[in-house]
Amino acid sequence: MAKTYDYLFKLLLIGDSGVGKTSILFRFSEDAFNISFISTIGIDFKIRTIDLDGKKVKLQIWDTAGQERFRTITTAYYRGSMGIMLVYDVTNEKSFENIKNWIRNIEENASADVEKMILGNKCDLEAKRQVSKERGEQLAVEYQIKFIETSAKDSLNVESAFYTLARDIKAKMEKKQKEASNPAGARSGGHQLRNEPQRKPTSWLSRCSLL
Amino acid sequence: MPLPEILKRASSYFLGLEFDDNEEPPDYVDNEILFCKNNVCVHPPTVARHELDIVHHPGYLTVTTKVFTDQHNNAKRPTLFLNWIPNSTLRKCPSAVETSPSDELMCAGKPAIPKEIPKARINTNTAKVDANNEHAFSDSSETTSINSNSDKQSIKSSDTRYTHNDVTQDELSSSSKPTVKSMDSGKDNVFSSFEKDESRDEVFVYDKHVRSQSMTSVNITIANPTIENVDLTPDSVSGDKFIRSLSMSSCDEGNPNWMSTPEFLALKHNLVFPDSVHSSPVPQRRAPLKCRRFSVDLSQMRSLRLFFNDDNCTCGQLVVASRESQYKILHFHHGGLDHLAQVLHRWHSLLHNIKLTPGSEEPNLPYRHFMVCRPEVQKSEQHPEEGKLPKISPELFYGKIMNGKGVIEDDLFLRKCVFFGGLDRELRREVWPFLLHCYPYNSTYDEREIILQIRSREYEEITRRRLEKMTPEQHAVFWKTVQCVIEKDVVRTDRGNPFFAGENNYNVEIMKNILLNYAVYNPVLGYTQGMSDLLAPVLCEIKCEAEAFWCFVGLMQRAIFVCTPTDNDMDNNLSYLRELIRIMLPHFYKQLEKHVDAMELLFCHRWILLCFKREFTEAVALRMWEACWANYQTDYFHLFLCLAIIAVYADDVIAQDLNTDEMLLHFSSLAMYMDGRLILRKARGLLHQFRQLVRIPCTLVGMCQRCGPGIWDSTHRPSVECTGAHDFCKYAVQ
Repeated sequence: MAKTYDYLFKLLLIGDSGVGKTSILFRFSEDAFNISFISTIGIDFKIRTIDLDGKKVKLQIWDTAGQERFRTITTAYYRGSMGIMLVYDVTNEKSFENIKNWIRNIEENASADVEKMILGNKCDLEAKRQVSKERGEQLAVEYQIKFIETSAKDSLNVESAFYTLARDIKAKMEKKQKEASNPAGARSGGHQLRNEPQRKPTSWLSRCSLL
Repeated sequence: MPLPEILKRASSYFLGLEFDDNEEPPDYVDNEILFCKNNVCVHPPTVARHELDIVHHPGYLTVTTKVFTDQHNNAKRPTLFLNWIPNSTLRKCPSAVETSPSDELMCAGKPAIPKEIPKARINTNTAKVDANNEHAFSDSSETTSINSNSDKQSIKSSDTRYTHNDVTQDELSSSSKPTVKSMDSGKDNVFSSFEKDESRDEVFVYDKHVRSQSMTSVNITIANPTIENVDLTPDSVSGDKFIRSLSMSSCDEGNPNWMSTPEFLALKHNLVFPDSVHSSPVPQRRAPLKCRRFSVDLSQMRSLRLFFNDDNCTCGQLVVASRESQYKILHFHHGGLDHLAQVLHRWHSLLHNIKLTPGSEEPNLPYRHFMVCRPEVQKSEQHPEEGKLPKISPELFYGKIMNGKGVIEDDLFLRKCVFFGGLDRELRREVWPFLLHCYPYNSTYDEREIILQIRSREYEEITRRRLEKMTPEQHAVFWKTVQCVIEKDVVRTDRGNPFFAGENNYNVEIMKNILLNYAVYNPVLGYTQGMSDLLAPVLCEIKCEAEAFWCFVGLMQRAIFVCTPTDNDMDNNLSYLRELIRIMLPHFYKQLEKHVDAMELLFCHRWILLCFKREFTEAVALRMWEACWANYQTDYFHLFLCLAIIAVYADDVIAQDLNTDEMLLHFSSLAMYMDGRLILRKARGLLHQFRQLVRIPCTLVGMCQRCGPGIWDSTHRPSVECTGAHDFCKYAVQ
């Protein structure tokens, strides 16, 4: 079947239970919000194709339970992921503290060059806020990850967060493609390729060429 | 080549116009037009050697609500009527649109005048004049304006919303205007009005309150003599979208291109609807094929599928299949199919009272491939005892099943009836505690009272342990790992159920307490997401906190399907299911083998974890729970339900060769669209088939061992064959 897109990116949403992963996904894919969401069970994904600098980018965004215990699901979830949204709830201190654990989780399961972004969700609930924006920024600087505060309810920054992540993945990908096709850069690119089979889990870039 | 293979990119959704016994039919209005669209084409089956050969018969499509009264019990049943009237008929008899769908068309008997048969040969952007036809015009386009004093406003407003403005087409319309005028003048003056401003293609999606009765007259203008069929123009067909394989001439010499129209294929396989009830399909008539009015009750159809063939998901085909597997294919060349999909989806949601907003069940917009299907289970596929056992009514239960002392003497009969016939809703409170092993079947009323007293005290003790006997450290850990998650989950569990609805509902607090206490009672398991979903329906029926707790304990411990959600139990279930698929659905097994990681059966996880709660409406899902709890002939009936879903709904997965991710999307979009009663019937049939097997693989031996009497008690024991999957297998041939 003909491709109706130029790129396909697999993105993940991770974070504690109830921080609003499904709401963020729902806002982005359907542009809607429902206060009485049901908890996510199993694994699910939604698709939205966006236009990025003239290219059609199909985003496959995966969502799973914050408290997922099944190894099969976790493995499948991280497999081939290119970008990860780490979500915490600004009204919940614990969910913020757990971001560090989630980052460790990513290191264990995802490919090393996966793009990451931290989202402080529910920033519309200013009165209940427990985590200041500055702390979020500080954590992001510490891990050298982009950070943005969002509100799925008020549709604040959700769109731009996904666009930013997608743009970063696209830039990284095009850079690698350029290196691979450019004879001058082929040496360095070749070097990376030689290393690749040893890397575990394998880079999503190798998978990408199949798509 | 089977039709489904040609019709790539099909379907995902299911719409069964069936009702649950407990559900009231939704509010609807008879004869309400939910959807209409002009220039929906029918291509009569011809041996199309070129795209030029495709004859387009444009017509006017309406989808109308209709109420049928059952002759036997006077029950009213709402349904949707699909009605397609060819433009040629409309030209002769413009009132055709107004008539009720089931009424016979007044002018249908009129002999067709040859020159009025719309006939068009398509070339790239130009209409070819048919030598035999003095009028080079075909009504590929017309503007329908509906005059109605009361509703004009609302119709107009929908016009602007759904008008597709195409500059080139407007130009064409303008240039053709004089010719049209002259043609019109020789005809009925109904067609004399020409509204240039109106776009040539319109979709009217009426607001609910717009009634068909208010449509007083229909003016139809023939505006464009050229069939501007964008989809069929070679230049505009990109890639290998399926429309190409359907209607385009293929360059491949080895593949005869006349094979490629779906209509011809359907005709060849005798899959075409007769033009009228009396005539049977006659292949390849010499005379030009007439396309007659087509009108069907959608609830009587086997399937209704929408195939989108453009990126925007607006154009494509609607394929209606009757129970006799005859097809009618309606082509939407000018958009509007997306709106039809919405209308069908809304109608379905209305019938089943499905909330359109909450999370994962929402249709995914880029995948709006709609499938409305009413598959059936053949008599030969059913369990021999299917339909032979009654649904348990209070009369039956208190009259025959339970004796005066409150003892259930023949629990097998009870479980068998629950398994086949189901349980009256008002008996859930009484019967569930038995099925969930809270009370023994042979206990008397008095004994059960004593048991409840003891268990209530035990429950209080657990509550005390949780509230008073934890050290501060233990409490901190408990709060962090258990309480936090439970508190977040209970407020988003079954809040649509009146029992749990509203702010500060005390029942939500009870649900929380039971889950917290369960985590204390069974600290190894603690709390896992999904448990609240399993508890909620039980609590809602049992109501008493302590009793509901012990039923929940039974549910978590004895009923294997819920399984303590650990990797091991889940893995066991999935490996049994894989083996069942291998021996019972080999075609699907091949599909799984073809794709990387498909054997993980990710799409089944939620089915098993929540026992189909999110895949079917609650009434049907609880029927499935009870059928599982009945432990009749197997402890793994849930796996047969999974197998049944795959058996019934995986044809498309194979036909479209869906990959692992697409399979997940396919099955998750089927949620709430599947026919649960059919799945139950099919699953019982599959269980019977399984029990008929002479040999089973050693990998399934574990599944046949039961907590109760063995699975093969009443019939024979199959021999066990080693598959070589295990290192040390006692069934291996020495």
